[in-house]
Amino acid sequence: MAEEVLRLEGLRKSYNVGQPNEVEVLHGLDLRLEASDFAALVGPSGSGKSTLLNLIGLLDSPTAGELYLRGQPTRAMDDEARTALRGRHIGFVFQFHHLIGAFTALENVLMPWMVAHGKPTPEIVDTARDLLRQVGLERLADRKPGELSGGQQQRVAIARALVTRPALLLADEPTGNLDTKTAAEVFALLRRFNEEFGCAVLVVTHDPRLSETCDRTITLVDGAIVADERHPRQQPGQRPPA
Amino acid sequence: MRELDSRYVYVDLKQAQSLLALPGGVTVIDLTVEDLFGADRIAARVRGLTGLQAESWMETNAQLMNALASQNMSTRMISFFVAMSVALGIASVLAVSVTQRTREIGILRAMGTRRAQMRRVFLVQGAVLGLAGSAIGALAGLGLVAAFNTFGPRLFIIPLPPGLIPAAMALATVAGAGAAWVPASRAARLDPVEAIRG
Repeated sequence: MAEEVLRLEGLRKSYNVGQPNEVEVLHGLDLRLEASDFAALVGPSGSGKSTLLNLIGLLDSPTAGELYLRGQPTRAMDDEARTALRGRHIGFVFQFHHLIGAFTALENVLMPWMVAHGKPTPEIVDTARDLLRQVGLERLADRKPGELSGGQQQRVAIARALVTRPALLLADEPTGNLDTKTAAEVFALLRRFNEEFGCAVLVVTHDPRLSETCDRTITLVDGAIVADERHPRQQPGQRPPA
Repeated sequence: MRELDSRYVYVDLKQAQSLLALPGGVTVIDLTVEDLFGADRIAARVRGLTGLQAESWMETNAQLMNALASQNMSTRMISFFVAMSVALGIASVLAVSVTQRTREIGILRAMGTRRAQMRRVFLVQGAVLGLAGSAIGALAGLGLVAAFNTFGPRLFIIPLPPGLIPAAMALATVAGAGAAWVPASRAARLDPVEAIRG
């Protein structure tokens, strides 16, 4: 049986709990992600994708239900425990790269490791350089984010998300700010890391051309999963994203 | 000192008595006391023992004493308000910094930075600002004091107690960290979801 990374059981999220204007935005979701999954989370605006991604990323807590990350129930955890678990097992890539402008690309990549462990060891510096090499930016390791293009910055953000070898990579519209060609390159990178590192990838995207290249498409409408389809794995070039 | 020199003449007692037609007499006797600030008590005792008018140096120089006390007070007030304005300056710089870095704070929290770690970042920044500022200030102050003592009128020198600079730097560092507390706590409390959204 494939290694389970994430499991949602009856996950619900409400805002303004106990108030007259209480509103439930996620209605009892069940979902399972395995280490090999390269999944797209799609749905119209306001369907609850970002809320779900925040819950899965342990940035927010559910109102009801349970979320298991690598088998660990997380709902009863306090902020401190959730933060530690998030740092250990989850990598984030956002629409806007959110790199720290004062640091070089290499330092930005090292940041999640440094948050958890302090001063970087020579081994982790090598790992970070290798990740930058894999995203094609080895030569730009000492450049500040302001000196990189949008696509390069997003590739640094991907390397940063992977430096701690997370079990789950969450990407919220990672290509939303990029041109079609660069978006396809970024997607290809995510796919490669999913295969090479065995890291489950969940991508929120509005772009159907990109979601079609994923192995699995989870469709969220009005806070409920209405479809969860698996596709045969695409060969490179078979169904180009752009 | 110049005023004293122009007002006083030191001569032999007998010569003075002869000049002023006061054979065997004196108008004023100055006493040196070991306990400087016991002069009031000693003057009262002399008055009691001799029935003469006896004044301590503090009574004679009441105005000077008052001026010195006022100067001391105003120096302390200036120091206090300078420290306050430095602390408020650091606090406002860091408050702006927290606002400008909201997204960076959000992403750092997403990466697993704990609230306490986030708070520490800004507290250390406040302390470093206080330390660096006081180091620059101390260097400038040292230079000015040295210039005054070397090239000034040389009527008096400005003393520099050995512990003053380290104490001032330590105080500025603590004040910097203290001033950073409110913005640092704000950074620590930021909800990562809201912060990332900006």
